[in-house]
Amino acid sequence: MSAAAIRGAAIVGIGESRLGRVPGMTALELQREAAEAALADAGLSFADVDGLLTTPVRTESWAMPCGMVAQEFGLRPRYIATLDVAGASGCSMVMHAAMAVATGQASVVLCVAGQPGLSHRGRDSMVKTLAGAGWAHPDLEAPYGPLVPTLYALVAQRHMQEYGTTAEQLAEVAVAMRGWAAMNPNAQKREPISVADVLASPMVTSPLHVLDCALVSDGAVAVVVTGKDHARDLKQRSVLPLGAGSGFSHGYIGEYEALTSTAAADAGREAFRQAGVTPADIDMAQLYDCFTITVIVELEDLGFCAKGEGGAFVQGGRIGPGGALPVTTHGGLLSAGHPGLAGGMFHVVEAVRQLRSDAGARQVADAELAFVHGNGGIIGLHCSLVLGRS
Amino acid sequence: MADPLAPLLDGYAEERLRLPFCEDCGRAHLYPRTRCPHCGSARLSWREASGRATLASWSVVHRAPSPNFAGEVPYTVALVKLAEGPQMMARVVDAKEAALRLGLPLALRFATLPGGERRPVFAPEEPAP
Repeated sequence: MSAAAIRGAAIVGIGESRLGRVPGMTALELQREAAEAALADAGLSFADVDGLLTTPVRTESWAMPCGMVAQEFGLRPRYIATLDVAGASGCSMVMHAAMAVATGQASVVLCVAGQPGLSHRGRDSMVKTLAGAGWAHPDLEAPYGPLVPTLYALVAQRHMQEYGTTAEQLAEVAVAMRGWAAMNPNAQKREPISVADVLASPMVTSPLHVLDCALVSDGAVAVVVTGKDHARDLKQRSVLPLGAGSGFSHGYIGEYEALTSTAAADAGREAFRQAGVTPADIDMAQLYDCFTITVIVELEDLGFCAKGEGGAFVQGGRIGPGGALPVTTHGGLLSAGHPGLAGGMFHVVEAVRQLRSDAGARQVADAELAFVHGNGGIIGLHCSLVLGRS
Repeated sequence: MADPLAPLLDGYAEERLRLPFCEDCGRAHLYPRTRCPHCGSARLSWREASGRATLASWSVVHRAPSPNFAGEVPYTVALVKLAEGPQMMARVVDAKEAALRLGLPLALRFATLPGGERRPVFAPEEPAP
Protein backbone atom coordinates (compact mmCIF):
# COMPACT_ATOMS: atom_id res chain seq x y z
CA MET A 1 0.00 0.00 0.00
CA SER A 2 1.53 3.26 -1.03
CA ALA A 3 1.21 6.41 1.00
CA ALA A 4 -0.72 7.95 -1.88
CA ALA A 5 -3.43 5.27 -1.63
CA ILE A 6 -3.90 5.76 2.14
CA ARG A 7 -4.40 9.41 1.29
CA GLY A 8 -7.44 8.55 -0.81
CA ALA A 9 -9.42 7.93 2.39
CA ALA A 10 -11.07 10.26 4.88
CA ILE A 11 -12.44 9.90 8.41
CA VAL A 12 -15.93 11.41 8.25
CA GLY A 13 -17.67 10.22 11.40
CA ILE A 14 -16.81 9.52 15.04
CA GLY A 15 -18.94 8.28 17.89
CA GLU A 16 -18.64 7.16 21.50
CA SER A 17 -21.16 5.36 23.64
CA ARG A 18 -21.47 6.35 27.27
CA LEU A 19 -18.15 5.36 28.86
CA GLY A 20 -17.30 4.14 32.36
CA ARG A 21 -19.98 2.30 34.32
CA VAL A 22 -22.95 1.79 31.99
CA PRO A 23 -25.02 -0.94 33.64
CA GLY A 24 -27.42 -3.24 31.85
CA MET A 25 -25.90 -2.96 28.38
CA THR A 26 -24.71 -5.80 26.15
CA ALA A 27 -21.71 -5.38 23.86
CA LEU A 28 -24.06 -5.01 20.89
CA GLU A 29 -26.14 -2.35 22.61
CA LEU A 30 -23.01 -0.35 23.45
CA GLN A 31 -21.70 -0.78 19.90
CA ARG A 32 -25.04 0.34 18.47
CA GLU A 33 -24.88 3.48 20.60
CA ALA A 34 -21.39 4.28 19.25
CA ALA A 35 -22.14 3.30 15.63
CA GLU A 36 -25.34 5.36 15.46
CA ALA A 37 -23.49 8.34 16.92
CA ALA A 38 -20.68 8.01 14.35
CA LEU A 39 -23.07 7.63 11.40
CA ALA A 40 -25.21 10.57 12.57
CA ASP A 41 -22.01 12.59 12.96
CA ALA A 42 -21.16 11.83 9.32
CA GLY A 43 -24.69 12.40 8.06
CA LEU A 44 -24.98 8.75 7.03
CA SER A 45 -27.08 5.75 8.05
CA PHE A 46 -26.57 1.98 8.27
CA ALA A 47 -28.00 1.79 4.72
CA ASP A 48 -24.90 3.61 3.44
CA VAL A 49 -22.43 1.19 5.08
CA ASP A 50 -20.90 -1.42 2.76
CA GLY A 51 -17.81 -2.21 4.84
CA LEU A 52 -17.50 -3.40 8.44
CA LEU A 53 -14.54 -3.94 10.74
CA THR A 54 -14.81 -4.97 14.37
CA THR A 55 -12.81 -6.78 17.06
CA PRO A 56 -13.40 -9.74 19.37
CA VAL A 57 -14.93 -9.06 22.80
CA ARG A 58 -14.22 -10.75 26.13
CA THR A 59 -17.70 -10.41 27.60
CA GLU A 60 -19.64 -12.61 25.17
CA SER A 61 -18.94 -15.89 23.41
CA TRP A 62 -19.02 -14.86 19.77
CA ALA A 63 -17.74 -17.36 17.22
CA MET A 64 -17.56 -14.64 14.54
CA PRO A 65 -17.68 -11.11 15.93
CA CYS A 66 -18.02 -9.30 12.57
CA GLY A 67 -21.01 -11.51 11.71
CA MET A 68 -22.69 -10.82 15.06
CA VAL A 69 -22.27 -7.08 14.61
CA ALA A 70 -23.36 -7.06 10.95
CA GLN A 71 -26.47 -9.04 11.81
CA GLU A 72 -27.34 -6.72 14.69
CA PHE A 73 -27.12 -3.67 12.44
CA GLY A 74 -28.84 -5.35 9.48
CA LEU A 75 -25.77 -4.91 7.28
CA ARG A 76 -24.89 -6.88 4.13
CA PRO A 77 -21.34 -5.55 3.71
CA ARG A 78 -19.24 -6.42 0.65
CA TYR A 79 -16.14 -5.87 2.84
CA ILE A 80 -16.29 -7.47 6.30
CA ALA A 81 -13.70 -8.73 8.80
CA THR A 82 -12.88 -9.19 12.46
CA LEU A 83 -9.53 -7.63 13.25
CA ASP A 84 -7.49 -8.49 16.35
CA VAL A 85 -4.15 -6.91 17.07
CA ALA A 86 -5.16 -6.41 20.70
CA GLY A 87 -4.65 -2.83 21.87
CA ALA A 88 -3.45 -1.74 18.44
CA SER A 89 -6.81 -2.73 16.93
CA GLY A 90 -8.28 0.80 16.97
CA CYS A 91 -5.49 2.30 14.87
CA SER A 92 -5.24 -0.83 12.75
CA MET A 93 -8.98 -0.89 11.94
CA VAL A 94 -8.76 2.68 10.66
CA MET A 95 -5.63 1.80 8.66
CA HIS A 96 -7.38 -1.21 7.11
CA ALA A 97 -10.58 0.74 6.48
CA ALA A 98 -8.54 3.35 4.61
CA MET A 99 -6.91 0.59 2.56
CA ALA A 100 -10.32 -0.97 1.77
CA VAL A 101 -11.69 2.37 0.59
CA ALA A 102 -8.54 3.20 -1.35
CA THR A 103 -8.64 -0.14 -3.20
CA GLY A 104 -12.36 0.03 -3.95
CA GLN A 105 -13.35 -2.87 -1.70
CA ALA A 106 -15.85 -0.62 0.06
CA SER A 107 -17.09 2.94 -0.15
CA VAL A 108 -18.20 3.47 3.48
CA VAL A 109 -16.48 1.42 6.21
CA LEU A 110 -17.82 1.35 9.76
CA CYS A 111 -15.17 0.48 12.37
CA VAL A 112 -16.81 -0.33 15.68
CA ALA A 113 -15.77 -2.06 18.92
CA GLY A 114 -16.74 -2.15 22.58
CA GLN A 115 -17.90 -4.24 25.49
CA PRO A 116 -19.38 -3.98 29.01
CA GLY A 117 -16.02 -4.83 30.60
CA LEU A 118 -16.89 -3.37 33.99
CA SER A 119 -20.55 -4.28 34.43
CA HIS A 120 -20.40 -7.75 32.86
CA ARG A 121 -19.02 -9.49 35.95
CA GLY A 122 -17.16 -6.69 37.68
CA ARG A 123 -13.63 -5.31 37.65
CA ASP A 124 -11.97 -8.15 39.57
CA SER A 125 -13.48 -10.72 37.23
CA MET A 126 -12.12 -8.87 34.17
CA VAL A 127 -8.65 -8.62 35.78
CA LYS A 128 -8.77 -12.39 36.40
CA THR A 129 -10.02 -13.08 32.88
CA LEU A 130 -7.14 -11.09 31.44
CA ALA A 131 -4.60 -12.84 33.71
CA GLY A 132 -5.75 -16.14 32.17
CA ALA A 133 -6.14 -14.87 28.61
CA GLY A 134 -2.81 -16.17 27.35
CA TRP A 135 -0.73 -12.98 27.58
CA ALA A 136 1.53 -14.96 29.91
CA HIS A 137 2.81 -18.22 28.35
CA PRO A 138 0.53 -20.91 29.82
CA ASP A 139 3.37 -23.31 30.74
CA LEU A 140 6.43 -21.10 31.06
CA GLU A 141 5.05 -17.88 32.61
CA ALA A 142 1.55 -18.25 34.07
CA PRO A 143 2.64 -20.80 36.73
CA TYR A 144 4.84 -18.10 38.33
CA GLY A 145 1.76 -15.94 38.97
CA PRO A 146 2.18 -12.74 36.93
CA LEU A 147 -0.75 -10.37 36.48
CA VAL A 148 -0.99 -8.69 33.09
CA PRO A 149 0.30 -5.54 34.87
CA THR A 150 3.30 -7.60 36.07
CA LEU A 151 4.31 -8.17 32.46
CA TYR A 152 4.45 -4.39 31.95
CA ALA A 153 6.02 -3.88 35.38
CA LEU A 154 9.00 -5.91 34.11
CA VAL A 155 9.43 -3.28 31.38
CA ALA A 156 9.01 -0.45 33.90
CA GLN A 157 11.53 -1.91 36.37
CA ARG A 158 14.11 -2.42 33.65
CA HIS A 159 13.58 1.14 32.40
CA MET A 160 14.13 2.46 35.93
CA GLN A 161 17.27 0.37 36.34
CA GLU A 162 18.74 1.24 32.95
CA TYR A 163 17.83 4.91 32.67
CA GLY A 164 17.16 6.11 36.20
CA THR A 165 13.45 6.63 35.52
CA THR A 166 11.61 7.23 38.79
CA ALA A 167 8.23 6.27 40.25
CA GLU A 168 7.45 10.00 40.36
CA GLN A 169 8.05 10.27 36.62
CA LEU A 170 5.74 7.32 35.94
CA ALA A 171 3.14 8.99 38.16
CA GLU A 172 3.39 12.20 36.09
CA VAL A 173 1.81 10.30 33.19
CA ALA A 174 -1.21 9.33 35.30
CA VAL A 175 -1.55 12.88 36.59
CA ALA A 176 -1.47 14.29 33.03
CA MET A 177 -4.14 11.84 31.86
CA ARG A 178 -6.38 12.78 34.77
CA GLY A 179 -5.86 16.44 33.99
CA TRP A 180 -7.19 15.88 30.46
CA ALA A 181 -10.01 13.60 31.66
CA ALA A 182 -11.24 16.33 34.00
CA MET A 183 -12.19 18.25 30.83
CA ASN A 184 -13.80 15.22 29.11
CA PRO A 185 -17.49 14.91 30.08
CA ASN A 186 -17.53 11.24 28.98
CA ALA A 187 -14.48 10.20 31.06
CA GLN A 188 -14.84 7.58 33.79
CA LYS A 189 -12.50 9.27 36.31
CA ARG A 190 -12.48 13.07 36.44
CA GLU A 191 -11.40 14.10 39.95
CA PRO A 192 -7.87 15.54 39.94
CA ILE A 193 -4.95 13.48 41.29
CA SER A 194 -1.38 14.38 42.26
CA VAL A 195 1.93 12.55 41.96
CA ALA A 196 1.65 11.88 45.71
CA ASP A 197 -1.80 10.31 45.18
CA VAL A 198 -0.39 7.92 42.58
CA LEU A 199 2.52 6.92 44.83
CA ALA A 200 0.17 6.46 47.80
CA SER A 201 -2.24 4.25 45.83
CA PRO A 202 -1.87 0.52 46.56
CA MET A 203 1.08 -1.25 44.95
CA VAL A 204 -0.22 -3.85 42.48
CA THR A 205 3.01 -5.23 41.08
CA SER A 206 6.13 -3.16 41.68
CA PRO A 207 6.84 -0.54 40.45
CA LEU A 208 3.21 -0.13 39.26
CA HIS A 209 0.55 1.22 41.65
CA VAL A 210 -3.19 1.02 41.03
CA LEU A 211 -3.11 4.51 39.50
CA ASP A 212 -0.32 3.46 37.09
CA CYS A 213 -2.77 0.95 35.54
CA ALA A 214 -5.60 1.36 33.03
CA LEU A 215 -9.23 1.33 34.11
CA VAL A 216 -11.74 -1.42 33.38
CA SER A 217 -14.74 0.10 31.62
CA ASP A 218 -18.03 -0.32 29.81
CA GLY A 219 -18.13 1.44 26.47
CA ALA A 220 -17.92 1.36 22.71
CA VAL A 221 -16.50 3.56 19.98
CA ALA A 222 -16.96 3.89 16.23
CA VAL A 223 -15.25 5.56 13.29
CA VAL A 224 -16.60 5.94 9.73
CA VAL A 225 -14.09 5.96 6.86
CA THR A 226 -14.91 6.76 3.26
CA GLY A 227 -13.22 8.03 0.09
CA LYS A 228 -11.95 11.58 0.03
CA ASP A 229 -14.26 12.45 -2.89
CA HIS A 230 -17.35 11.12 -1.12
CA ALA A 231 -16.28 12.94 2.06
CA ARG A 232 -16.77 16.34 0.44
CA ASP A 233 -20.57 15.81 0.34
CA LEU A 234 -20.83 14.84 4.01
CA LYS A 235 -21.64 16.74 7.17
CA GLN A 236 -18.25 17.19 8.83
CA ARG A 237 -14.93 18.55 7.76
CA SER A 238 -13.09 15.30 7.21
CA VAL A 239 -9.80 14.24 8.75
CA LEU A 240 -7.26 12.56 6.51
CA PRO A 241 -4.96 9.62 7.23
CA LEU A 242 -1.61 10.85 5.95
CA GLY A 243 0.45 7.86 7.00
CA ALA A 244 0.10 4.49 8.72
CA GLY A 245 2.52 1.83 9.87
CA SER A 246 2.70 -1.31 12.00
CA GLY A 247 5.49 -3.06 13.85
CA PHE A 248 5.93 -6.35 15.71
CA SER A 249 8.67 -7.74 17.90
CA HIS A 250 7.37 -10.46 20.23
CA GLY A 251 4.43 -12.35 21.66
CA TYR A 252 5.66 -13.20 25.17
CA ILE A 253 7.56 -10.60 27.18
CA GLY A 254 9.75 -13.39 28.65
CA GLU A 255 11.34 -13.87 25.24
CA TYR A 256 11.97 -10.19 24.60
CA GLU A 257 15.44 -9.26 25.77
CA ALA A 258 15.37 -5.63 24.55
CA LEU A 259 12.44 -4.96 26.96
CA THR A 260 12.61 -1.16 26.89
CA SER A 261 13.03 -0.64 23.12
CA THR A 262 9.97 -1.64 21.14
CA ALA A 263 8.67 -2.01 17.59
CA ALA A 264 6.73 1.22 18.11
CA ALA A 265 9.84 2.63 16.44
CA ASP A 266 9.08 0.66 13.24
CA ALA A 267 5.38 1.60 13.20
CA GLY A 268 6.12 5.25 13.85
CA ARG A 269 8.95 5.50 11.34
CA GLU A 270 6.70 4.17 8.56
CA ALA A 271 3.76 6.43 9.46
CA PHE A 272 6.01 9.50 9.61
CA ARG A 273 7.71 8.55 6.32
CA GLN A 274 4.41 8.21 4.48
CA ALA A 275 3.14 11.49 5.89
CA GLY A 276 6.41 13.25 5.13
CA VAL A 277 6.59 14.76 8.61
CA THR A 278 8.66 14.33 11.78
CA PRO A 279 7.76 14.24 15.50
CA ALA A 280 8.65 17.93 15.72
CA ASP A 281 5.77 18.73 13.31
CA ILE A 282 3.13 16.99 15.48
CA ASP A 283 0.67 19.19 17.40
CA MET A 284 -0.65 16.42 19.65
CA ALA A 285 0.14 12.72 20.21
CA GLN A 286 -2.67 10.36 21.19
CA LEU A 287 -0.52 7.59 22.68
CA TYR A 288 -1.78 4.26 23.98
CA ASP A 289 -1.60 4.37 27.77
CA CYS A 290 -2.48 0.96 29.22
CA PHE A 291 0.14 1.67 31.91
CA THR A 292 2.13 4.78 32.72
CA ILE A 293 5.37 3.13 31.51
CA THR A 294 3.80 2.50 28.09
CA VAL A 295 3.59 6.23 27.35
CA ILE A 296 7.20 6.84 28.41
CA VAL A 297 8.52 4.05 26.18
CA GLU A 298 6.34 5.20 23.25
CA LEU A 299 7.52 8.81 23.53
CA GLU A 300 11.09 7.50 23.16
CA ASP A 301 10.55 4.89 20.46
CA LEU A 302 8.38 7.20 18.35
CA GLY A 303 11.08 9.85 18.43
CA PHE A 304 9.46 12.53 20.60
CA CYS A 305 12.53 12.26 22.83
CA ALA A 306 15.71 10.20 22.99
CA LYS A 307 15.81 6.66 24.42
CA GLY A 308 16.01 6.82 28.19
CA GLU A 309 14.77 10.40 28.40
CA GLY A 310 11.03 9.65 28.52
CA GLY A 311 10.88 10.02 32.29
CA ALA A 312 12.43 13.46 32.26
CA PHE A 313 10.31 14.39 29.22
CA VAL A 314 6.98 13.94 31.05
CA GLN A 315 8.04 15.89 34.15
CA GLY A 316 6.48 19.21 35.08
CA GLY A 317 3.17 18.54 33.35
CA ARG A 318 4.76 18.57 29.91
CA ILE A 319 2.26 16.11 28.36
CA GLY A 320 -0.77 17.36 30.31
CA PRO A 321 -3.08 20.35 29.77
CA GLY A 322 -1.03 23.40 28.87
CA GLY A 323 2.10 21.30 28.34
CA ALA A 324 4.53 21.52 25.43
CA LEU A 325 3.32 18.24 23.85
CA PRO A 326 -0.35 17.44 24.54
CA VAL A 327 -0.59 13.64 24.89
CA THR A 328 -3.77 11.55 24.92
CA THR A 329 -6.02 14.53 25.41
CA HIS A 330 -9.25 12.65 26.25
CA GLY A 331 -7.64 11.16 29.36
CA GLY A 332 -6.83 7.80 27.82
CA LEU A 333 -7.13 4.30 29.19
CA LEU A 334 -5.79 5.54 32.53
CA SER A 335 -8.62 8.00 33.19
CA ALA A 336 -11.22 8.21 30.38
CA GLY A 337 -11.83 4.47 30.09
CA HIS A 338 -10.65 1.13 28.73
CA PRO A 339 -13.39 -1.14 27.35
CA GLY A 340 -11.08 -3.87 25.99
CA LEU A 341 -9.97 -3.89 22.36
CA ALA A 342 -12.06 -0.76 21.78
CA GLY A 343 -9.82 1.23 24.13
CA GLY A 344 -7.28 2.33 21.54
CA MET A 345 -9.91 3.63 19.10
CA PHE A 346 -10.91 6.37 21.54
CA HIS A 347 -7.44 7.80 20.82
CA VAL A 348 -8.33 7.97 17.10
CA VAL A 349 -11.69 9.60 17.86
CA GLU A 350 -9.99 12.16 20.08
CA ALA A 351 -7.46 13.04 17.38
CA VAL A 352 -10.31 13.61 14.91
CA ARG A 353 -12.19 15.73 17.43
CA GLN A 354 -9.10 17.87 18.06
CA LEU A 355 -8.37 18.29 14.35
CA ARG A 356 -11.97 19.47 13.81
CA SER A 357 -11.56 21.95 16.71
CA ASP A 358 -14.46 20.19 18.46
CA ALA A 359 -12.68 19.24 21.71
CA GLY A 360 -14.29 21.84 23.94
CA ALA A 361 -12.40 22.81 27.09
CA ARG A 362 -9.47 20.54 26.21
CA GLN A 363 -9.03 21.86 22.66
CA VAL A 364 -5.39 22.14 21.63
CA ALA A 365 -4.93 25.48 19.87
CA ASP A 366 -4.14 25.36 16.14
CA ALA A 367 -4.14 21.55 16.02
CA GLU A 368 -3.39 20.57 12.43
CA LEU A 369 -1.37 17.39 12.68
CA ALA A 370 -2.05 14.51 15.07
CA PHE A 371 -0.14 11.32 15.78
CA VAL A 372 -2.08 8.31 17.07
CA HIS A 373 -0.46 5.16 18.44
CA GLY A 374 -1.88 1.81 19.50
CA ASN A 375 0.02 -0.88 21.39
CA GLY A 376 -1.04 -4.52 21.51
CA GLY A 377 -0.09 -7.45 23.70
CA ILE A 378 2.81 -6.98 26.07
CA ILE A 379 4.24 -3.99 24.21
CA GLY A 380 4.97 -6.31 21.26
CA LEU A 381 2.65 -5.10 18.46
CA HIS A 382 2.24 -1.51 17.35
CA CYS A 383 0.22 0.57 14.90
CA SER A 384 0.70 4.28 14.22
CA LEU A 385 -1.34 6.83 12.28
CA VAL A 386 -0.57 10.38 11.24
CA LEU A 387 -3.81 12.32 10.77
CA GLY A 388 -4.25 15.78 9.30
CA ARG A 389 -6.95 18.35 8.60
CA SER A 390 -8.53 18.30 5.16
CA MET B 1 5.41 -32.92 14.93
CA ALA B 2 6.45 -33.33 18.56
CA ASP B 3 5.58 -30.58 21.02
CA PRO B 4 8.77 -28.48 21.23
CA LEU B 5 7.97 -27.78 24.87
CA ALA B 6 7.99 -31.43 25.93
CA PRO B 7 11.76 -31.88 26.48
CA LEU B 8 11.85 -28.73 28.63
CA LEU B 9 8.86 -29.72 30.75
CA ASP B 10 10.11 -33.32 31.03
CA GLY B 11 13.40 -31.86 32.31
CA TYR B 12 11.57 -29.77 34.89
CA ALA B 13 9.89 -32.91 36.25
CA GLU B 14 13.41 -34.28 36.86
CA GLU B 15 14.63 -30.92 38.25
CA ARG B 16 16.85 -30.38 35.23
CA LEU B 17 17.02 -27.24 33.10
CA ARG B 18 17.83 -28.43 29.59
CA LEU B 19 17.98 -26.05 26.65
CA PRO B 20 17.60 -26.57 22.91
CA PHE B 21 20.93 -25.82 21.20
CA CYS B 22 21.19 -25.40 17.45
CA GLU B 23 23.62 -27.84 15.84
CA ASP B 24 24.17 -25.44 12.95
CA CYS B 25 24.67 -22.00 14.55
CA GLY B 26 25.51 -23.30 18.02
CA ARG B 27 23.16 -20.97 19.86
CA ALA B 28 20.63 -21.91 22.53
CA HIS B 29 17.11 -20.50 22.55
CA LEU B 30 13.98 -20.10 24.70
CA TYR B 31 11.03 -20.46 24.52
CA PRO B 32 11.37 -23.79 22.71
CA ARG B 33 10.45 -23.74 18.99
CA THR B 34 10.56 -26.36 16.26
CA ARG B 35 13.18 -24.26 14.41
CA CYS B 36 16.16 -22.32 15.72
CA PRO B 37 14.90 -18.71 15.91
CA HIS B 38 18.42 -17.45 15.15
CA CYS B 39 19.14 -19.35 11.92
CA GLY B 40 16.02 -21.39 11.07
CA SER B 41 17.68 -24.78 11.41
CA ALA B 42 15.63 -27.78 12.50
CA ARG B 43 18.74 -29.54 13.88
CA LEU B 44 18.29 -28.97 17.60
CA SER B 45 19.76 -30.92 20.48
CA TRP B 46 18.99 -30.61 24.16
CA ARG B 47 21.79 -30.05 26.68
CA GLU B 48 21.73 -29.23 30.36
CA ALA B 49 22.19 -25.59 31.34
CA SER B 50 24.82 -24.48 33.87
CA GLY B 51 22.13 -23.05 36.15
CA ARG B 52 23.93 -19.72 36.28
CA ALA B 53 21.97 -16.60 35.37
CA THR B 54 21.76 -12.86 35.92
CA LEU B 55 18.74 -10.76 36.83
CA ALA B 56 17.24 -8.93 33.81
CA SER B 57 14.13 -7.48 35.51
CA TRP B 58 11.66 -8.18 38.29
CA SER B 59 8.34 -7.22 39.83
CA VAL B 60 7.05 -7.93 43.32
CA VAL B 61 3.43 -9.03 42.92
CA HIS B 62 1.11 -7.79 45.68
CA ARG B 63 -2.24 -8.84 44.21
CA ALA B 64 -2.88 -12.48 43.42
CA PRO B 65 -3.96 -13.15 39.82
CA SER B 66 -6.16 -16.01 41.08
CA PRO B 67 -7.13 -17.51 44.47
CA ASN B 68 -4.33 -20.07 43.99
CA PHE B 69 -1.73 -17.39 44.61
CA ALA B 70 -3.49 -15.54 47.45
CA GLY B 71 -1.43 -17.26 50.15
CA GLU B 72 1.86 -16.43 48.43
CA VAL B 73 1.75 -12.65 47.95
CA PRO B 74 4.05 -10.81 47.87
CA TYR B 75 6.32 -12.80 45.57
CA THR B 76 8.92 -11.79 43.00
CA VAL B 77 8.35 -12.60 39.34
CA ALA B 78 11.54 -12.09 37.37
CA LEU B 79 13.18 -12.27 33.98
CA VAL B 80 16.58 -13.93 34.12
CA LYS B 81 19.28 -14.17 31.48
CA LEU B 82 20.87 -17.60 31.48
CA ALA B 83 24.65 -17.91 31.11
CA GLU B 84 23.94 -19.84 27.87
CA GLY B 85 22.21 -16.75 26.38
CA PRO B 86 18.44 -17.16 26.44
CA GLN B 87 16.13 -15.22 28.72
CA MET B 88 13.26 -16.80 30.66
CA MET B 89 10.62 -15.93 33.22
CA ALA B 90 11.08 -17.31 36.72
CA ARG B 91 10.87 -16.23 40.32
CA VAL B 92 13.61 -14.85 42.53
CA VAL B 93 13.50 -16.42 45.98
CA ASP B 94 15.37 -15.84 49.25
CA ALA B 95 16.23 -12.26 48.37
CA LYS B 96 15.07 -8.96 49.84
CA GLU B 97 13.54 -6.57 47.33
CA ALA B 98 16.11 -3.90 48.24
CA ALA B 99 18.94 -6.30 47.31
CA LEU B 100 17.70 -6.81 43.76
CA ARG B 101 19.60 -5.10 40.94
CA LEU B 102 20.15 -5.49 37.23
CA GLY B 103 22.80 -8.14 36.58
CA LEU B 104 22.58 -9.72 40.04
CA PRO B 105 24.20 -13.20 39.76
CA LEU B 106 21.66 -15.96 40.35
CA ALA B 107 21.73 -19.72 40.82
CA LEU B 108 19.11 -22.26 39.76
CA ARG B 109 16.80 -24.06 42.15
CA PHE B 110 13.50 -25.84 41.71
CA ALA B 111 10.25 -25.09 43.50
CA THR B 112 6.67 -26.28 43.42
CA LEU B 113 4.37 -23.41 42.41
CA PRO B 114 0.80 -22.90 43.67
CA GLY B 115 -0.69 -24.69 40.66
CA GLY B 116 1.43 -27.76 41.50
CA GLU B 117 3.96 -27.22 38.69
CA ARG B 118 7.63 -27.98 39.42
CA ARG B 119 9.53 -25.07 37.88
CA PRO B 120 12.96 -23.38 37.91
CA VAL B 121 13.37 -20.48 40.33
CA PHE B 122 16.51 -18.51 41.09
CA ALA B 123 18.25 -17.30 44.25
CA PRO B 124 21.16 -14.88 44.62
CA GLU B 125 24.40 -16.76 43.96
CA GLU B 126 26.13 -15.53 47.12
CA PRO B 127 24.02 -15.68 50.24
CA ALA B 128 23.74 -12.27 51.89
CA PRO B 129 26.29 -11.84 54.71
